[in-house]
Amino acid sequence: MTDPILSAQGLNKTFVMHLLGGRKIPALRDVSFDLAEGEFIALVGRTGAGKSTLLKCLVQIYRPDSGRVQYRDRNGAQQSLTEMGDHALLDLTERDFGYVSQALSVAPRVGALDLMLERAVGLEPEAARARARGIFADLALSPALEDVYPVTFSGGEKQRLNLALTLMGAPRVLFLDEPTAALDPDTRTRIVDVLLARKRAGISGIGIFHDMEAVAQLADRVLEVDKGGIVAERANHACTF
Amino acid sequence: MAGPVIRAERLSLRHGKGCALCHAPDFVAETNICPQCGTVWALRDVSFDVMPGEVFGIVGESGAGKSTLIDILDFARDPSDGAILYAPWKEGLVPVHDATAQERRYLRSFEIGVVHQNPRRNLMMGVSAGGNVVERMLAAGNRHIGEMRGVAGDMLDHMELAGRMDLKTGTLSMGMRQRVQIARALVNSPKVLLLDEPTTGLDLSVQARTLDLIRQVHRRLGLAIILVTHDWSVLRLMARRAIVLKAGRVVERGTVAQLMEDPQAPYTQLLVSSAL
Ligand SMILES: Nc1ncnc2c1ncn2[C@@H]1O[C@H](COP(=O)(O)OP(=O)(O)OP(=O)(O)O)[C@@H](O)[C@H]1O
Ligand SMILES: [Mg+2]
Ligand SMILES: [Zn+2]
Repeated sequence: MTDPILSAQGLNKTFVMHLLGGRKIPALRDVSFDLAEGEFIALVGRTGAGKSTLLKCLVQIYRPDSGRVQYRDRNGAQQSLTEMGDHALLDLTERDFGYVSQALSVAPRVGALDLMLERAVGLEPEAARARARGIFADLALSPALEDVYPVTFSGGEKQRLNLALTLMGAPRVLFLDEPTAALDPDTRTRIVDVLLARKRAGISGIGIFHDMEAVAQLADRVLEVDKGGIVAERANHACTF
Repeated sequence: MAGPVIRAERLSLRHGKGCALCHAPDFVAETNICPQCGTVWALRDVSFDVMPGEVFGIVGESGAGKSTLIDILDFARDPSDGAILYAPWKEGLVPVHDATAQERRYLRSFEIGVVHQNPRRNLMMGVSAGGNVVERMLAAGNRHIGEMRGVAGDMLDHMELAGRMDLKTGTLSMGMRQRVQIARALVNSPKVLLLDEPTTGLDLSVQARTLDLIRQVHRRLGLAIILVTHDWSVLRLMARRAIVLKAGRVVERGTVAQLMEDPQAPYTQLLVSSAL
């Protein structure tokens, strides 16, 4: 059996709020799991359970207090993300990881399509443009939005642009923080279809979903997070919602 | 993998001689002033690496030592202790304090461009915008006036200053002066660009445009940029990694996402939580 593409081993994270007299907020305790290549994991759980914290600890936006995150790179070499220098970490995660947060943060006064083109690597301008337009359309973003500054986008449009920007690259692993929240059922289906197509192409993923239909369609495995720990795990085909 | 273009190695800059207390390696104080001898440690043990083509941020409030650090990186002044190592110049990373005066002039003319917080430090206000750019080419030994005018004109066009070449710099707006500085800094194709608060004090729309121009330059030329700012949104837009300076010391370092989303040091938490 091949090694997992991503492996979390004993992750702990407690926030220390120095401005509040050093108050400690435990957020993750002893989280371990493996993500197999090509697998999609859904994280579910109550609000404040630690799901977003877990995603951020995986991609090293949050630095875990202890534990390791191991990643098997394109050459099959094991990389320890928790021990890597920050420059090497960025080189690796910018190329191989697609992290889609709930907040869109982009350059002001640059149109949506141009933002996507900035992410195109190693493509001729025409090919890049075609690819960007294709992703835009797949995510049900209107062509009329292509040259609009995203600051005026609706919540759902911003969210989809975030995903679109990520998909412009060639991520091997997707980290998705509620990619279908705040979308109407039709649009949600479109997003799930796009993600399913990526999955069929061999991309791995881990995502936070409150939408059980999306979980049922996408996930191979469901991990339930509660009070910063993984409290239940089930294979998706075995569960009924 | 290619190594860093520039490395700061335990840089300190003190005003005063220091004493046994503040020279001790483990000396720490609340401020940058030694309580015993009154020596001001404008910078203390500052280290970092900047990789080719990367935008590296230096964050901190006023008085943290950011502009002092820029002066040292621009070889305008020497550190009291520590070293700047610079790569594109010779084989490998070479300490700059070994350089001769002539080599330093070369470094300052060709390898490093600087945009100061105060444009008056770089620009002659009574001279035209084009003249300010040409002056830097003259300093680099260029003597062909027609050619220099052509290059300066192109640089100013890139900075959206077409047609302003012959206007006196002192008559230009703050945003335009800042762009003249950038044109001047870039005209000899440096490998490292130092930007000291390049958009502070500009109107928001001018700020957005200036940052966009800097981003374009960065993408087109692929040079390394060291960006000093106290503005987290500018940092997030522009930089990948950064250090946080407080009273001359590095209190935290990391990726920009780490610093903004999971600040560890009390001072970084204060700065991030104070951002709008
Ligand atoms: N950067 C931070 N600094 C301090 N506390 C934080 C930080 N990020 C998260 N927390 C705290 O950690 C806990 C877990 O939050 P997290 O965002 O991971 O929850 P979640 O499961 O994603 O919830 P939701 O479903 O509401 O998005 C919360 O108590 C939260 O307030
Ligand atoms: Mg969340
Ligand atoms: Zn002293």
